[in-house]
Amino acid sequence: MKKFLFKLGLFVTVTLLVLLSLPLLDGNAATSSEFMAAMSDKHKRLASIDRPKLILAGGSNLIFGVDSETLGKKLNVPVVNLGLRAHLGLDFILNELRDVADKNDLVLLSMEYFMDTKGDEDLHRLASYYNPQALAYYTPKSNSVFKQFFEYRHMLYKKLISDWITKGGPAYNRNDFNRFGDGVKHLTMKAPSVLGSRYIIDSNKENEIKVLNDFYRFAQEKGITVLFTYSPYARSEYTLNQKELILLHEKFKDRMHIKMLGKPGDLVYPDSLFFDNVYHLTKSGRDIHTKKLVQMLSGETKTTGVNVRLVPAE
Amino acid sequence: MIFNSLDFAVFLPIVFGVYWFLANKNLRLQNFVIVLASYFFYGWWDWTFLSLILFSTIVDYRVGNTMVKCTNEQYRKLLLGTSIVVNLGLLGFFKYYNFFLENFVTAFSFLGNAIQPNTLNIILPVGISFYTFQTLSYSIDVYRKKLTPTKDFVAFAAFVCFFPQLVAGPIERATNLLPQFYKKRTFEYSKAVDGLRQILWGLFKKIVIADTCAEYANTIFNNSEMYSGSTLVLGALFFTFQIYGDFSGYSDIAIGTSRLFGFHLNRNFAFPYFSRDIAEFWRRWHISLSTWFRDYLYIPLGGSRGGTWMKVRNTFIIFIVSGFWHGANWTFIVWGALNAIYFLPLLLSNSNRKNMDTVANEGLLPSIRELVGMFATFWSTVLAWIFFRADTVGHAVSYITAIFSGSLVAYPEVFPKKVLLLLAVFMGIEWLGRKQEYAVEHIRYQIPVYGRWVAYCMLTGIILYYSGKEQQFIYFQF
Repeated sequence: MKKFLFKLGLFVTVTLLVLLSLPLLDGNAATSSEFMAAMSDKHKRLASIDRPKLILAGGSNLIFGVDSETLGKKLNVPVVNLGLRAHLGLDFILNELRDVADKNDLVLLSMEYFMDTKGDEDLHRLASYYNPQALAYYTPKSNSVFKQFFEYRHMLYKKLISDWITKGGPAYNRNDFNRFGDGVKHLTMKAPSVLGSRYIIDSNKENEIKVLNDFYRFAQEKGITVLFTYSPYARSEYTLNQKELILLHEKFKDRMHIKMLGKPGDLVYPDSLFFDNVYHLTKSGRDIHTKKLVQMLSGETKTTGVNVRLVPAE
Repeated sequence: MIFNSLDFAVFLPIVFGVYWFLANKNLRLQNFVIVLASYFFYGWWDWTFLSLILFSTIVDYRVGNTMVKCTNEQYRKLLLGTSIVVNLGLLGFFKYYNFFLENFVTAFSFLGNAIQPNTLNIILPVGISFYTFQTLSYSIDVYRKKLTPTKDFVAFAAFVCFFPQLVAGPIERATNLLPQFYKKRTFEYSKAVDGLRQILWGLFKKIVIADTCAEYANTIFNNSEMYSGSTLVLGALFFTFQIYGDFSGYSDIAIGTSRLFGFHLNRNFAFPYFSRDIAEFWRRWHISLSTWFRDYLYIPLGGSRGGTWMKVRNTFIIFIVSGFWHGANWTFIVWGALNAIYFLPLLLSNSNRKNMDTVANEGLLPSIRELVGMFATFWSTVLAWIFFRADTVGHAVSYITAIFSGSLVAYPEVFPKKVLLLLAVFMGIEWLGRKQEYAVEHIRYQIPVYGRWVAYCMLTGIILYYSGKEQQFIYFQF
């Protein structure tokens, strides 16, 4: 028994030591170059603006698909691009907005079609490890400090291995954002010959509609204007999912209370304008999409009198 | 509590410590620790269903002890009937009530009578199909006088609820497991190390193989109408490995955990995907259930002793009942019937016991004949698994129809090369270890100690990398 316990103890100790020492390899959360750590930088920009602003919220389509500087100049409003990852889920993203959006702000939600409400647990952990404020944006599976401690280490271990295997994505680094929160590293990238694998869209979005309506009520009470738009989307993928997307749009139109800008077909672009998946635009794609957003947002502010007091941009 | 959770990683060492250090002087106390630990393990899901296990335990304990004193054959039969009715009654109510009711209503509606079914919102207690069969085997063996009933209630309760195999087997016979609770267990280093090795391999199968395949199988099966035939074939293939990794992984962890406590459980899987015919497959897949049905259903029905009609009837009965055991859905029944159809030609031509040894027993590679047999058997099972996985029989039929459409030769829309490579490596390891009880059993003879430590560390590292989602085991729902 002694021999067994000694060997097992040694094995467990080595494993635990590796897990516990991982934060040392990853450096300080505040200075880390981890992609998700950019959330804190975006929050800092939000805190530095004391006027009504345009907040872009959603998944990574926003990082690669919007030129916030141009958008801000055209609309005369400071812009903060909060987009990070669609897999954070709507609950998380809307809770983040509840935390950071102020009265008179304009929030533009840009949602990828596959986005669900609950999001990915590992990603939540990753977000809250680098940005402790994010702990309030989701319900951790466990409240036990012991469990959370191990879950963080486990998450870090997986992240380090993933980074090692993929050698990091070319445009997925905290340093690849500009001061507005847009991605910039991808601007020189070209479209590949084939764009990712097929993802089937499900038009059943009851939960998503419910949480969006809840957020709408919150925004109304707080004096925040919310608009909704779909993500840019590659033509090949759109063709594949067209029926389901029309159905999805009908449901959103009927049941969601947030004002919608455009329909899915309005934001479809040729595959040649996407660089690594069907939501991520190249520079040319980003320029076109930004123009479209400017048009849609200007139209809204002029014709429907959306209650946003636009002020000169910085 | 599931094996692939942090909860279990904390629970197991505590029980191990209490069992070997605090309770090791007293056998009864050790058994009591097992009962307590098992009830805690099960109660982690839902304490209320513990009463069902306790009820089954009390009934079968009383039945066994009353039966042994009884000389009147009619009364003995009545006692056996009581055990069967109670156990199958519980199983029938919790698992099949709504199925029978809905099908009864559907049948009546064909006759023009509309009935409003009064279905109940019944939650299926985890593992009920496993422990009811285990306790039933006890009552039947006592009735057949193959087993002397125990007078030790704690030992019997420990046999019924033994936590490593309580919720998803292997379904142990009382003749094998119960006597182990009467004997003093002494800690054996080699057994314990072997147990840990098997646990590690089981976790690899579950977390790395099954859960990874599940992601793709679910995507493809849930949207099957959108995909080409070639992708649907991959979907079926992923499910084939998912169910194997999931269930045989569970069995490995169960057997390995039992070894840590000094128990020996019977093998439940013997590399079924290397079978050369479907009869061999069924000797290698979920062995504890197949042999249960063989001994307590097939043989009492006459087995293969009668004429052709009797053989056909019994084969269909055993496969359909086996299918139905898995769940209250027509898909499982069709899956069972399809396997019976595969099996019958072998039985009727008396070639069902042709392949009793391990494939390529003398060498490394199989012969062409063996390869063809393995290929045909493997793809037959892949086809059958489509019924097992599909939501309805209609879904399975449309899935298979779509496979054989023109798009079978199209480039698959979902084609995860890394996962397919992982599966190839996994099957390679399984092939090299096919003569052992589990694939990496003999690693201690094949690799020197430092190499072994590196291998264990790497395996642990890979498992940790893939872990985190705590996916339920498929067989928990059965």
